[in-house]
Amino acid sequence: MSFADRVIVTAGIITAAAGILLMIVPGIAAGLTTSDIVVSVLGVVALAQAAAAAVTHYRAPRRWAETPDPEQRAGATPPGASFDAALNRLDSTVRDRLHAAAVAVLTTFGDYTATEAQEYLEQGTWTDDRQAAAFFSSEISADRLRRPTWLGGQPVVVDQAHATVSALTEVVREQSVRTSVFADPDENDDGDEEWAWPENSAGDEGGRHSAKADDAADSRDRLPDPQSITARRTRRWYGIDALALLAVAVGIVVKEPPLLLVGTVGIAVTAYAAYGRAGTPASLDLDLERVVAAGRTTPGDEVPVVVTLRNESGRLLPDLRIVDGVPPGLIVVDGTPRHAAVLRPGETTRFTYTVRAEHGEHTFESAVIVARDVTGEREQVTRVAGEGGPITCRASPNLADGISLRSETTDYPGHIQTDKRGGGIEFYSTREYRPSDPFASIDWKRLARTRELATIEFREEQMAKIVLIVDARGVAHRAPEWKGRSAVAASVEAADVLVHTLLDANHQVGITALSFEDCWLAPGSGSDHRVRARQLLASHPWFATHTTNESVEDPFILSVQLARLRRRISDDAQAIVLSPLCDDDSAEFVRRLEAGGTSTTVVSPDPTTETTAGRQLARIERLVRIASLRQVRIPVYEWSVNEPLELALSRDQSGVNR
Amino acid sequence: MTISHSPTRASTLLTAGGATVAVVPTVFDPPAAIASGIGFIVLLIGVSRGSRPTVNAGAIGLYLGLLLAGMAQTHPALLVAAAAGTVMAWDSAENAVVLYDQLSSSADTRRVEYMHTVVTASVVGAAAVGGYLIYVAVTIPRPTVVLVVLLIAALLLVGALIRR
Repeated sequence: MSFADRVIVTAGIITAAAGILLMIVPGIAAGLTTSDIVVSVLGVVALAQAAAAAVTHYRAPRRWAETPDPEQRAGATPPGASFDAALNRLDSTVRDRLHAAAVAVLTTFGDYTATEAQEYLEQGTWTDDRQAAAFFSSEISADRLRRPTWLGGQPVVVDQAHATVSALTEVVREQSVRTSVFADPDENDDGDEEWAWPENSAGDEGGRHSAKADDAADSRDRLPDPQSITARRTRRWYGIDALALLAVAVGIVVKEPPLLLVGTVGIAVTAYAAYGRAGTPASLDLDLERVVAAGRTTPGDEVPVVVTLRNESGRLLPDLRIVDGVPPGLIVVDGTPRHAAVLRPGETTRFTYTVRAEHGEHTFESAVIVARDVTGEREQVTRVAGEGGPITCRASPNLADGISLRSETTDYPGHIQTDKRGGGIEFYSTREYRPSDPFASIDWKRLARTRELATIEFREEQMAKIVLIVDARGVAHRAPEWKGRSAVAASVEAADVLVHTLLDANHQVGITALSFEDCWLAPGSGSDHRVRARQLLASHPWFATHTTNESVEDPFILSVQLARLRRRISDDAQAIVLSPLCDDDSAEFVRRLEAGGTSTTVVSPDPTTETTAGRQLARIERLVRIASLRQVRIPVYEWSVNEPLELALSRDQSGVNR
Repeated sequence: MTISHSPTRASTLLTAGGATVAVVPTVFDPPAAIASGIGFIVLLIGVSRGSRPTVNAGAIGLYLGLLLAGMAQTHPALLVAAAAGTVMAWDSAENAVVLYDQLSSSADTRRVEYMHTVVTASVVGAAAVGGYLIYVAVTIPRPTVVLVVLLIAALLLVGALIRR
């Protein structure tokens, strides 16, 4: 306390004592009188002080700690979200995109040429739905009774866009050979869709709660460094002194003593707040432990996490707020990682939440703990790392059949049955003995039976060299709903399974990522290689099953990627591309790779649903891409992101007639 | 699961309780009743939406009702009860808003809120009762000079507190 403060406080205490004395011993005050002027002056002084307090309060922002939102970091955007946003804004890109999609659908599924398709669109003869037809055609007017917009109805264009998307879906359905795509029940459809229009129109962002307190005077501070404790005064009681003094001033001016009483209550509360501010921040010693169910987990399992917090500080902590550090990449499906507690010294509190396991190794981040004193004036924020193991999750590699590989092979013995005749281990046919044949392939049984020399020919089984290309770009992080499992996570899981299956079948497997950064594991075999491959998939940042900031997307340049890949892939290798095919670049990449001489197979997780017009459109566009790839004899296997991989691969659905 | 950052039912009830105590004494004077009535509604809206500015606005409304009631010669005991109610209502509302901003409504925060509310209520209640007793002791006829002296003391002390 500064000298001036000390003087003022001492003067105040002395005056208060004098007043109380006068109150108790009435005789002393009998002779003294005061005039009204003195009282009025006091009133003005009180008012001035109230104003001063108000000004100080206004300039100093109140602040409190901001806590992270760890529950939804893994969530990816649904495909088609940008279209829905554009439709909501009545953007002109809606028309262009729908037109392109319609032409693509008609040419791919309807066997029309591009010009014919455009004609049909303009004439409106491509569909029976008048609304849909009216969208592209100026000749048709869809006049039907609509709810006017001022009563809450949609604009005409929006209705027509919806109808167009539905009509396109119908066309695809009718023409599609692979009805299994639509036979899967959409478990992701919620009746009450909790997705809201994204606030940010640039790209597929959104989903976080946004536009909270608009108060410019309030500010929220960043989280402290991992090792420090940040103590601050929240100043939440700022302003109460101004109000108390205002009450006193008004009471004096209108000569209503009860208001002075109100002022007194306010003054007492100010003193309480000052007591809270004056407290020195004591040490904050907390012990955090997490217990995760041990044992093998597979992707999709629900893993409960039990968090126990113990107060080792030696003092009462009356207001503790805890947000646990859920590993990025995992989604909380039950319970909450947030908790509040009042802890006496040595007391513990416990809370539980459940996360859904994803492929890979997930370590917990530090928990954020906010400790406040009982008045709310002082706040201490700290991070506690806590004990508790990482959650490790591997897909169980027990696929019997795997994926039929293309017939591209190397010259090493392996498991693809070729049509080459030669030294292998599986019987193929017999032919007449020639003097140059090796003794090992003489059919001795036949010789014993018929005394004729014949040579058994074996079908040569050869080993294939395969490169798995995982599409891990930002645009591939698509999920059926905002909190759902992303297509990249499904691709990485599938890659892990494929690594196992293919290595077990004695093929050579390599891994790379379709992304800006460089990630390459050359095809190899053996147990060391298997371990390296799994490590790469589990821990390399480009295979992360979550994305933190999609807008910081490095540009993916198709030709650069292709060139780089072609330099590395040998001529006898084939490629398996794991990609959701949610954008044209991925399909183009596959086409060019195949055209460049590398046999390519596509394994594509499906993150599309049909719950909104945008998502339907995204689904249609994806189906068009798949169909166009199959038309050039590139096999495409697909399955829904939420479906187990084994189930999908057991259905033979390469879609290519061999 | 969406993360909702609005306070729950328990905190809304706590706030409503304090605000009712703040409003009831003002009903006898129409301007005061209007001001505090509006403040009551705005405060509850602020709590249910988790908006701090709205909560502050509601508390100001209750306070204005209090001032107007004081000017209309409301009984001192009622007035001091209303003052206590106003402070309690604002305190639990603001605490709830910040708490749920930090923790979201899915966390069980009742223990923390009750602890905070009980302590604040004790302090405010003691201030109200003590103040009322002093008031009764002073005004039943004592000269104004005592009042003036006490006032000066109060202003000095509060001035010191403000500067900290």
